[in-house]
Amino acid sequence: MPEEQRRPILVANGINVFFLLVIPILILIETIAPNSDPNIREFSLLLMILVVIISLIHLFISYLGLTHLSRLLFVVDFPLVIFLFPALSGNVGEQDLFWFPYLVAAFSIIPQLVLTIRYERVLYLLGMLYMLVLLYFSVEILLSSILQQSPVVQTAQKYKFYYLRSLLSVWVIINVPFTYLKWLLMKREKELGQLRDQVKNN
Amino acid sequence: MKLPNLVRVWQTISQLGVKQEVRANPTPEWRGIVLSNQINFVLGCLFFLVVVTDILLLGKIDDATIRYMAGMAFTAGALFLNYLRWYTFGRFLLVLLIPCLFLIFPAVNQSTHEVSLLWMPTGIVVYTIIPYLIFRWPQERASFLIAQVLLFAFTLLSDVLLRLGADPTFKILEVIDENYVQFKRSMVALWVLLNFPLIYFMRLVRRFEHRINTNHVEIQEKNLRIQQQNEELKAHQEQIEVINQNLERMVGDRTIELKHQNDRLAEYAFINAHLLRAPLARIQGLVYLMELSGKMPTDDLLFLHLKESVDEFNGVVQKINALVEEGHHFSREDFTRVLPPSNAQTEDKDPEEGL
Repeated sequence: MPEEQRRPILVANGINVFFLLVIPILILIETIAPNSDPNIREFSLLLMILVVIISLIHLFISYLGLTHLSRLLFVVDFPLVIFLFPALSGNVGEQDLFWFPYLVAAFSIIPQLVLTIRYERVLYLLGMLYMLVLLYFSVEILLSSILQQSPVVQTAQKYKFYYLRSLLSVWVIINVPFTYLKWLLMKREKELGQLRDQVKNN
Repeated sequence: MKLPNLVRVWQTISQLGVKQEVRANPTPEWRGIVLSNQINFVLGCLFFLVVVTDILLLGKIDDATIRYMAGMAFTAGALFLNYLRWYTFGRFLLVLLIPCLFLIFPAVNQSTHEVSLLWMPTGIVVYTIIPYLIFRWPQERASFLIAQVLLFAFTLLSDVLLRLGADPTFKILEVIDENYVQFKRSMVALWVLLNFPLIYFMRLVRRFEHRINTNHVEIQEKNLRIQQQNEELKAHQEQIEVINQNLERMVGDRTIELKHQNDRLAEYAFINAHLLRAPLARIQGLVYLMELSGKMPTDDLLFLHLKESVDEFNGVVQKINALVEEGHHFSREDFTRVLPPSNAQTEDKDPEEGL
């Protein structure tokens, strides 16, 4: 398997292992942290356990050799669990509108990390599109989940077009450089392969 | 404007300040400058569109329009600095462009919009991508780090700057104050989330570029070695040609010498077969006649020696003749069978003793 194809698999597995290592520590901190809201603590623990279970499933599927499926699930379910689960379960506040959608936009780097442009072009494009759709729906769900009397929600509703435009700009600003870097990487790898052939032939 | 013209404009703007000799295929060293030109150009065009829309379609020139005009001036200035080859200044102008337009300008002008408070403090974090694209690590380490520190500082101070220009009655400010720690934590989280993958990608690109350079060097070294080997081979070929020429001359000389020797040998064979043989036959005849006439006593020792020597002489001549005619190599050992052992030994010891 060429390095370009192997690398995203390693990265996906690495991130899953990272979650597996870090989340137990976070659970421990969350459990022993004083003065925390019991509801939020309970919800955070549930979310962390979910992430651990998902990471384990990803790693198991990857171990079975179904790396495409594992990575596709990685793209689909992590943002879904981390961002939509709190919103759908009503565990969001008006303050989340400041940062929540931006983290969704930042998470659109996941397809960039775990999929290749050359070998999984369709999946890659679908992953990017999925992130964009998720970004839009995260705003919609947030706005409908938070109390409508909140000044933040009112401002966001009033200037929804500008708010969504700014989010789209952020998504573009994040993804265009990453796509450029991936393209550059692909070009360099191809160049290197050609050079290696040249060295061998010499 | 036709599409090829637009492409030409894009290429010309992209390569502003890039040295003439690398324009056709800019090396990685020039990537940051090319990218900064392209980003400046795209942002400048976007600002221009906003300004044109504001003035021509909406018929207004407000703070936002002036801000975008300032943005156009910024991008044009950055492009001009790159054109003058003051690349570092040009790129720093790009680094400061968005914080100046969206944080400092509203703060100075008292024109922070309510919605800006909602998206700008966190949104500014994504601008930390820019230094990765326009500065080259580790060659421009200092510039990169300064740009990163500046942008990180702007990220942390974004809400403070926006607040300076905001109406204090904005209710959104109260929400920010109530969740200030979470607000800042989310900014830092976003910053980390963006920077780690960027570092990873940049490292990969750098690693591949390093490998490409190493391979280029290897190919150049191999080419140099091949060239040296070629030169050595050429020198050897020339030497071989010289040796061949010498050899041909030597073979020619030797052939001539052998031909002379053969001629001499043929001459000697003729002398041996005819000129030497004739008086020998006559001596043999005379000895025979002397023997028949009875004038010489047949038991005379001198006569016997004479007869024996004449026979021996005849044997040697015949043997030489036979060997020369057959063309075989011959030596003095071939005559031991012809000569009596005593004579052969005598000749071995001292050929001149018998004379």
